[in-house]
Amino acid sequence: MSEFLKLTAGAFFGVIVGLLVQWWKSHREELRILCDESCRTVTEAADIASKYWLSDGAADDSKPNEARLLALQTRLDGYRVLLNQLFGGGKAIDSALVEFYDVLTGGLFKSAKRAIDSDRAQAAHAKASIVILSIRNTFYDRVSFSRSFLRLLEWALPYRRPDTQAGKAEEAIYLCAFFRSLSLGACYTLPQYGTDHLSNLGR
Amino acid sequence: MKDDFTEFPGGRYREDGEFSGEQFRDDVLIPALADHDRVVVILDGTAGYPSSFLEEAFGGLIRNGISRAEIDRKLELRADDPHYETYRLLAIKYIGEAKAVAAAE
Repeated sequence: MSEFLKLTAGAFFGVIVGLLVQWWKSHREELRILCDESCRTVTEAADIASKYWLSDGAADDSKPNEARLLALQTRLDGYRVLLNQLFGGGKAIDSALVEFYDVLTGGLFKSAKRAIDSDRAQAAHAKASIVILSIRNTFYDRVSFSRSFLRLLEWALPYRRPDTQAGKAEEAIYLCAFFRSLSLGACYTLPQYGTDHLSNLGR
Repeated sequence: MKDDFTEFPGGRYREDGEFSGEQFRDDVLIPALADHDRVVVILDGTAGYPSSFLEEAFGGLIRNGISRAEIDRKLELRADDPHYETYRLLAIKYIGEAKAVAAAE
């Protein structure tokens, strides 16, 4: 192969890799912003729900808070659709949202005879934290290279992630060894680079 | 829901204001279930739902003596617009939980 062709192929490869990395970074940023916005809305809804359930139905701010809570629920509906489009099937987020909505606007919501419900005020934040956790967890599942690789393994092979900490540590060691062998393999397939790299390793 | 009842669902009981879950259940849902073999509730198009409305409307069916088997056979809850899927899941949850309450009693 002529020198020109080698250079062209190298440049082309570099451009493709650069574009892929840029695409991944912008995708990750888009997901991160969406997750941040969703989590902020969940926290805001939990704060208003606490105020709402810690006052009775005759309180002055009862009606405005009802409208705010319903508006925030609707906003979360929109975020849920976006998250599902970008993450694909978010069952964990869905079930967490169902429990959260149940606390936000369930019980005697909208009733003028409503009494103070401190349990519900407390539960609003507990359920909110579960929603936030499920959103963040889904986010890291999608943007982390190692988790993406594991997901690929789960999809392609009869492999399932271990549940225990010891199992996960063992898995991490295997993964390190695997990627190490991959990088060494790459060195041997690119002889010039491989020779340099291996000699550097030996120093 | 939007076409036959309201775009702005209210609270749980009639005394909580217009378009309550109780009103929807007693005036729309139960008569429809009595007259038809198949009832489809399309949740799309409203300005969201308070969970209290959904619990009274759908969970209240069980408390009003309609069997789970009849609900499963006749009632279909639909959310064609994905924005309303959470409300569909909530209504299903309330039907399931109301059954458990009725059985415990």
